[in-house]
Amino acid sequence: MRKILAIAGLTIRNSIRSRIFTPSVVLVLLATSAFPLILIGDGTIQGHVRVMIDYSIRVLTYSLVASTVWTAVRTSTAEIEERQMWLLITKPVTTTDIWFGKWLGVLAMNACLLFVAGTALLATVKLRFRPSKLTAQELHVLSTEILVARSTIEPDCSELQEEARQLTEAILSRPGGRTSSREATLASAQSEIEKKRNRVAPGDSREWRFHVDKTSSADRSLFVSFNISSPRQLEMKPLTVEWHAGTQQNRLLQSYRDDIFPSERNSFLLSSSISRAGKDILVEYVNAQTNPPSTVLFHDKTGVSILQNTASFESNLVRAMMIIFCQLALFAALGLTIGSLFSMPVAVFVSFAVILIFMLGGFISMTVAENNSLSYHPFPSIRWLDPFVRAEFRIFNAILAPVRHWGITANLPRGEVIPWSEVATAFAIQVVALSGLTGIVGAWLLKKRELGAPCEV
Amino acid sequence: MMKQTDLTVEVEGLTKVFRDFWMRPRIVAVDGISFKIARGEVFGLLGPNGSGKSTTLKMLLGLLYPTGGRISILGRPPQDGYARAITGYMPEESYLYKYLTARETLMFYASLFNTTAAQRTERVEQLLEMMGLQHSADRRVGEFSKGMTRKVALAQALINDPELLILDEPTSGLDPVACRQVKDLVITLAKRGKTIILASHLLADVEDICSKIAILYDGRVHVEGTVSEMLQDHKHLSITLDSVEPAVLESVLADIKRHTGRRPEVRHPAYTLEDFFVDVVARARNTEATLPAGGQHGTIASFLSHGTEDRASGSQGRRQ
Repeated sequence: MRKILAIAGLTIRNSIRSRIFTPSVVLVLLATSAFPLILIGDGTIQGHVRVMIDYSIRVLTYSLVASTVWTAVRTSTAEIEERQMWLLITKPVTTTDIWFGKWLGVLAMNACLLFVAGTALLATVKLRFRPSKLTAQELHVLSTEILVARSTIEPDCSELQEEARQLTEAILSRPGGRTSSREATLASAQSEIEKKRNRVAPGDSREWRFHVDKTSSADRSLFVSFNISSPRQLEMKPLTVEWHAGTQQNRLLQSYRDDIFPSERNSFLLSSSISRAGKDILVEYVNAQTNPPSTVLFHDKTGVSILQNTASFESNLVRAMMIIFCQLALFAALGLTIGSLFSMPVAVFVSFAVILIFMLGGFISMTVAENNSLSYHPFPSIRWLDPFVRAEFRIFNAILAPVRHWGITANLPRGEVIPWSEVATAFAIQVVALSGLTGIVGAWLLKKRELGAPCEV
Repeated sequence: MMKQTDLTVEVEGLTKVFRDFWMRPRIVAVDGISFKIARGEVFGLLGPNGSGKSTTLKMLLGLLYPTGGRISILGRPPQDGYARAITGYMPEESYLYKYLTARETLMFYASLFNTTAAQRTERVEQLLEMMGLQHSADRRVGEFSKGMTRKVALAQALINDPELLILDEPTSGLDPVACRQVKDLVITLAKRGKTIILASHLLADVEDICSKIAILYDGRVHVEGTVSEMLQDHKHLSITLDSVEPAVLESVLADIKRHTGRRPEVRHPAYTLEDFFVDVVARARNTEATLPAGGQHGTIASFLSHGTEDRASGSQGRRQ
């Protein structure tokens, strides 16, 4: 272990003194302190803060990914090409010691950068939106909706499951109905019922039931969060929504009506009488968009939920930074392994390709999910590429699947909690499993590589 | 006949073929060479550029994998952890981390061996003093002259008090005083039973310090043997005396002529330019105590922890 730590220390020293670290710190400070100051929101205080945090996290993440990959590639290839590796490899150290030492060094630098970034972002938010500059209403909105960490309570779906079970039995009892397994039929029935229920026509309504822990909700604010689509969003016009909330005893304790933009996740605060009322909360949506009439569609997984304040913004920020750290650990591992395999120019090219694929991750995922095709492309000459492009996108999508934990950091600007379980999962998958595996491959490649080979041969 | 246990390095049929991208053989850099190096020997690898010296050294160090043949360092392959733990290597160029100071560099390399923190600190300080770097120990290596960088490179090669020391052009970039120090150090280490492999273009260096040499050309060993055997001129004889009166000399010469029929050639033995230079520098510094070679010799002895060595006996560069 001492050897690994010595190599990690060397990596840190070299990076700091070779001035890689200083530009990275400047970049981080710009991303988290200067850049947010020039952003404007949607006119509301929560929109402003949300945009500011969201953009800062994105810029920070992309810049750190780039600097991490560059540092990792450089620390590996430069030592091989400048032949410092000759002295290192002739000492009693294994290539595994070297690889993991360098990886730990890069991780330690990332940890420092993320600490600086987190502190700078927090300081910027706190200073920019200090209580003396806000109205009481704005302060309340920020402290209850954005600068908090709210957990999600999913609606009770036992009724839906029961209906799905009955439908499944009915299908299976029909003559010739047993064409697939019970589980597959049940999943299909559940999906069909859910889709049917999620569609709410003008004038219609839909109700959800939530089980809320009374003791934990008594002194905390509860929000109804909803995610809907409507043809109105294509026209860039607002949609009128109407909600009723109550309990089993009194279903109409609160009504809420608003014009919203359907493409975004929206929420409203439940009154304290409901929060304190009892274990079961009933929430009903009424499609009030009748002029012109417009059907709304609730999203499958994130259609409606109740958000409950469970932790502080600072705690959530720490979790977001830890998620980013896990992501960077994987990129550092990829950079080091690429650097162990290729010479500097090739390694730089390959690592930029990796970063590009990562940045296009959302697009790739969407393309695969929507099953987009080149078969209908206006230029027939490129239609034949369709199967190859589809296969390529599927491969990239599969590769990027483990790094999707990235998306959870989007909870931070929405004021939604990033569960510790997500942090632990990201750590287990990205740091331990994937980086470990990449490290084993990288160390093996380094061992197999003839470091003393003349460059021209 | 050398006993197997006396052997530090054994090379048999070593071959290295460099291949191109398509794995077609392109260059035969080393072509089936064999040699054995015993404990305490200073083995010189000589040869013109491209003769395979560096490739052979790299294979001994595990930086290249042989295409054929076998290498054994105290019975182990070069990549083995034990073989690496007992080997010191100083490359032709220094290849040090230019952002580290001399002390940090040595501490880093020391930490790669199984030593305690106290041992590491002691070893590093001894080596810094031995190399005359104690006043520059906290300067970055990137700011050093080539000679100082070479000293740091040599110090890192000695950090583990190696049983086998591999030196590639060890005196390259050093001034004559430092050159002498390095050569003296090599001889001192050999006397302590350390094995040294040295590749150099400087034939005088090799002649001064190597007990055995191999001359490589085109990847093959053309000559191998002890330096004294190879260079001895059995047709002539030289007798070295302290200066005598001209009359005594004439009498001796007359006697020799009477017995051999030929009058011998008489001349004063010459110092090598290196010896002369070192003496001039020593005199300029006016005192033996402040002369780097003298001062460092004491430190070397301390570092090696086994008494003192007679520096004069180590110097073989004086020629008749």
